[in-house]
Amino acid sequence: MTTMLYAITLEVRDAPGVLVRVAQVFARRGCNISSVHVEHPAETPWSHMSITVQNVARIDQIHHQLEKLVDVHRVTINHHQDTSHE
Amino acid sequence: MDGATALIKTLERQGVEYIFGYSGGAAIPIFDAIVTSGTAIKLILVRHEQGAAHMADGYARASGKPGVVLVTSGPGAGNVVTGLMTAHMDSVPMIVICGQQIRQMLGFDAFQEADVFNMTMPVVKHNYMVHEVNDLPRIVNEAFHLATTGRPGPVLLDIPKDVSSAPFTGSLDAPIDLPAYTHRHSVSKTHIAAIAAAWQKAKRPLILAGHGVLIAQAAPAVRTLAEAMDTPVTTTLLGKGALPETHRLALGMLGMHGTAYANKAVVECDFLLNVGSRFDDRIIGDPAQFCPKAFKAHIDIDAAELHKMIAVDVAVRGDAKESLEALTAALQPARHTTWNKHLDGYRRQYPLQYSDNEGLTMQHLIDRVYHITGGKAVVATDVGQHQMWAAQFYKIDQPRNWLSSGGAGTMGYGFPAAIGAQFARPHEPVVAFVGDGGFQMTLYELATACINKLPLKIIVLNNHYLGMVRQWQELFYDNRESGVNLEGNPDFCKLAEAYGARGIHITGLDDADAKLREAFAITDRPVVINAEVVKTSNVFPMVPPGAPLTNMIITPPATALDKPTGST
Ligand SMILES: Cc1ncc(C[n+]2csc(CCOP(=O)(O)OP(=O)(O)O)c2C)c(N)n1
Ligand SMILES: [Mg+2]
Repeated sequence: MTTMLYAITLEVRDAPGVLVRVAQVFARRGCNISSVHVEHPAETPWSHMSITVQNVARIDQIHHQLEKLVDVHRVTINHHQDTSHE
Repeated sequence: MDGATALIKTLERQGVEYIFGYSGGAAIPIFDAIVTSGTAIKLILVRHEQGAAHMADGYARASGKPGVVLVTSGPGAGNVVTGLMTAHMDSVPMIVICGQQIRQMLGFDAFQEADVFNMTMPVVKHNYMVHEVNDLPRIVNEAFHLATTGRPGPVLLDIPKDVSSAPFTGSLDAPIDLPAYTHRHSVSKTHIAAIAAAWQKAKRPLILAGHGVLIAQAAPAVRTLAEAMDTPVTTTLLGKGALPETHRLALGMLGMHGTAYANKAVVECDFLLNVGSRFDDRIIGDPAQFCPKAFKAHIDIDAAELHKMIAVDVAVRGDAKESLEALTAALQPARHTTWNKHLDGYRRQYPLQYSDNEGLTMQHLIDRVYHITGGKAVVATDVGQHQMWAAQFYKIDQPRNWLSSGGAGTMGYGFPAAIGAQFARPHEPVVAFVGDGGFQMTLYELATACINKLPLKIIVLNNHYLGMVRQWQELFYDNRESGVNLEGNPDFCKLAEAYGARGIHITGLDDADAKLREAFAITDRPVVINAEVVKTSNVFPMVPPGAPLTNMIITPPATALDKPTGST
């Protein structure tokens, strides 16, 4: 089986609850987050969030819903197929 | 000055007229500041926090200004969740302020501590936990900005009691600081040109207007464009009033219980412009078979709605009014006589109709109210069969005259929403059409309506059933009734009188008109009209859920229908 991997990076406000808001976009679809990393580099106004998810439907829709969050500044999504488990 | 006073003063600067509220320990400092600050804002004490939320929602829909709610922590905040969801689904601007436990107790399961910040995230546009008293004015200003710009929605502020009681040393002029939020999107000229080119070539064009038109105050722009292009207009449930429904180009509502001619127009059109509707599953039926032959264009302020349900040929992200005006400028006026005559044929062949053979129907009563009020009332509805018939038979000619819970379909919405609307528009007639089921979910607000001597008319369309569910059980579940019989309803007239309202009982066709006229002559208090109607009628036309619009059932089916598989 081929797996579609999505690597999502977000620039977000360093505000309480922002991780919950992002996680809810996935959780409401029953989509599991494989990994998440958040840090706030000293020199920038934004926290950087990196998330990976697998095989989620309608990633375009997720992209817009993430961008719509009031605390989310920018969203980039990269995807690639993982055939290593075949 | 304490935080609570700074909060009230900031609300006042935002132009707030009313706060719909219910007090409790964590909110006492804020209620106190309403008195001590000498504010001109009027506090409307409700009887349940859900009532407050729907009143604020009705106030907002009827006025265009955000409604404001103030409740206590824990159960108080819990009771507004349905109201938040209702407003969120329908893009209604609302500010909900909740008291909260003191900061040092947060996370300790202290008395009436509920994690309202996390609990409400999915049902608001944005929310805040206020940790610093001096942040209050900025946060209030941000809340109003967020609630009213872009795609509007509810914003919640959770304010710990020690924050509202703390001395305030900041500035009331605090500017907003929302660096990640953008709400203005310039309309793409290329996309407008592409829509114009397709429209110019179209033989059977159609406009679909949604709530976004009313939110953007674009109803006049719809009319100008529709008339210039001789193009008929259908609206969603929430779009009623986007074009006067008495206009020659108005087709009424489309979708599950839309008019036959609107649905046929959707099926047959070769060009569809959706402005400000999100292609909800209640209007598109089976998305794969929606509007198959047409060039489809979609204008929406929210990028997350574009291409979501329906992949369109051109999608424009932007303000409805600005986009429609750009389109008008880009188009040469056209005539579509053949197409409009063709649709007139459908209007004659499949008119909305009802029969008096079996007695007083909801349709008959709504139709009479339409005529008695000259179509000028502000109409709120609850959810169910009566809602769909009200949408069919009460034509709306003016924006902000139709308040109905669309996306959430919240029973219990109609009556408190009508109260909010009457506060917003004190000198206009306000009518609430409610079912016997839904009215019982929020009828305790009769106290609020009576104390404030609101002259609104509450019309209980009493079929002694959860009618809409009974209809589905009849059509799709072999008429097996389960949990829908409301025999044992209270005497709604006596109940009304107990609160100090007038109760008027309509028992059938014979007394309907006289009793309605009697009710509409009363102006010093609320009137509850309990109308006994035919118990087991069904709403038609009906597109079974998830089915294509071509499967619309116009008259009662002779055989049993398959269980629906699509959207609930
Ligand atoms: C809060 C809530 N609970 C349940 C429903 C499901 N529901 C939709 S319509 C309906 C029946 C409404 O009955 P009534 O208020 O009497 O109106 P009628 O359909 O009879 O006109 C029900 C139970 C709902 N929409 N909202
Ligand atoms: Mg009923």
